[in-house]
Amino acid sequence: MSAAGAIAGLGMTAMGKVYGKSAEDFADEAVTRACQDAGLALADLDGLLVNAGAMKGVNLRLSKRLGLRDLRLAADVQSFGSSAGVMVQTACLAIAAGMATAVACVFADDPLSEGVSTGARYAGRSDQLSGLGAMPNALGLRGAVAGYAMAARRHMSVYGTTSLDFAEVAVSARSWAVMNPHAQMDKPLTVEDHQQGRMIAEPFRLFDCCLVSNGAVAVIVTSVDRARDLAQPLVAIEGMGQSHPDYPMDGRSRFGLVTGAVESGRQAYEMAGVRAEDIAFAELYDCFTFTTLVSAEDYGFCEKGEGGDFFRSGAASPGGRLPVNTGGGHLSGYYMWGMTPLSEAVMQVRGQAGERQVPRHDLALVSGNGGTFDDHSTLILADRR
Amino acid sequence: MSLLPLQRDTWSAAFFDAAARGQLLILRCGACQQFSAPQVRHCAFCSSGELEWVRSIGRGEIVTWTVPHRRENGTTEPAYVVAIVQLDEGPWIHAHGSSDVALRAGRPVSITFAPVDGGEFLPVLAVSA
Repeated sequence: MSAAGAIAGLGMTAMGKVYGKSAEDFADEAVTRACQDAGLALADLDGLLVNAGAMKGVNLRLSKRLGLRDLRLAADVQSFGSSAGVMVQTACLAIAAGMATAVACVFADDPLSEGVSTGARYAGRSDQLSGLGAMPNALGLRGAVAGYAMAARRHMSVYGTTSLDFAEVAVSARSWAVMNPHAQMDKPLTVEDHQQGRMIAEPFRLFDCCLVSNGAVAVIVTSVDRARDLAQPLVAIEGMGQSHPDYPMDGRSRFGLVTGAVESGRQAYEMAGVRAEDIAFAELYDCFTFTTLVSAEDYGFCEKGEGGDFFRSGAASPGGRLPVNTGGGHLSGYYMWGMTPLSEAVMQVRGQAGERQVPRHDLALVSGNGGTFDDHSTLILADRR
Repeated sequence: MSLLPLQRDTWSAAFFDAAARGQLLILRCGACQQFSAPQVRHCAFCSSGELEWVRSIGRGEIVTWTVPHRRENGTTEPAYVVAIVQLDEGPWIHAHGSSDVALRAGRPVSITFAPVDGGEFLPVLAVSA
């Protein structure tokens, strides 16, 4: 089928413990770099979509700072971890409708401050808790980790998944990160290291949890025809999907067992006219090891309940049959929400991933996941040079 | 500190009045008669807004749980348990428990309520022998 659009530019700042810059500073730098990467001027942009991270430090005022005039598409987008995919999809729809021609999509965040614990900054917004919606927080479900831990525990109870399975995911991610110059973690990790990591919220130990990063990533979305004339190898967007399942709070809920990746993936595969078996490599949103594992199951890369065996087999690791999170993902690379899997996929599809370049890079699946499995997005990217 | 003070709002006033008496309320739909969890504003089955508070028997079984840890002298200690309980009527409810409660999926539990300084009574786990 004809592609929905293309990723024509990619811009990344330094990420991790990078101090002294605001989220807006990072966003400016990322959009500017993405334009340079594409061979476009900032003035060529006619669309801007902005996704602020946990600290909410950037918004559409970014357009003034960048001096963007006469935009035809401009919005703050907040679909949490699925936002990068949602922004790219929105850009493609606008371009296909003739409403825009070059749309910058940017994520930026600045949760790390020198000398302040990240936990304190994330939990620090201790507003007064009010109403039944806040009751889980009052009961002790604070931050993302506890909610995902409950999801993982249900999967363990039903399918027999274990902490050793999660360890395989963490080890695989690290085996890619050590080859990625953008990655925050550069030392190898073993299953034993994982098992000795301190407990955060059972069943999750330290290395089950993602990193935290300051920084920004931006992409420029254009039509395929436009992108062919620009500076980089063509990265075509061939499949798109979203799913926002809203698990009911009763016995029908498949919370922890099946995620929005099933429906979001079905849509994206159908649009691209491909199947799970056709995918060359996958960049799966990995806020926690369990997220990667259950996403691999739900995209059809292995049977339901066999995610642990999939990672243990080495299939997802360097040299494996379906490389997963080839830059180390959120666990060992950098935490830029959905821009982490997207940026790595763009580098790989272009063949610009250096030492960690996967041999077959013609068809990539990219996922985004937000809330506690509440919001999911999928992109299928193809090398169509 | 594990339980935080939670304030009532208009919707939750009846729930917390009952909680202070040790009673758990859930919602029943006037249109389809199905039970929904306390925080919904539309029936979880038919989306009707015609909901009424009814008393739950307060018993159910563990669906899943987590045990957050706190850092303690270079190591960590279990701080408490938060579980999702499937009530016998069908809805799920979150409940807090002591870290020495051994849980497994399907374990029968009851819901009781604990007072919290500066806030409403909150649901806690009582584990049957």
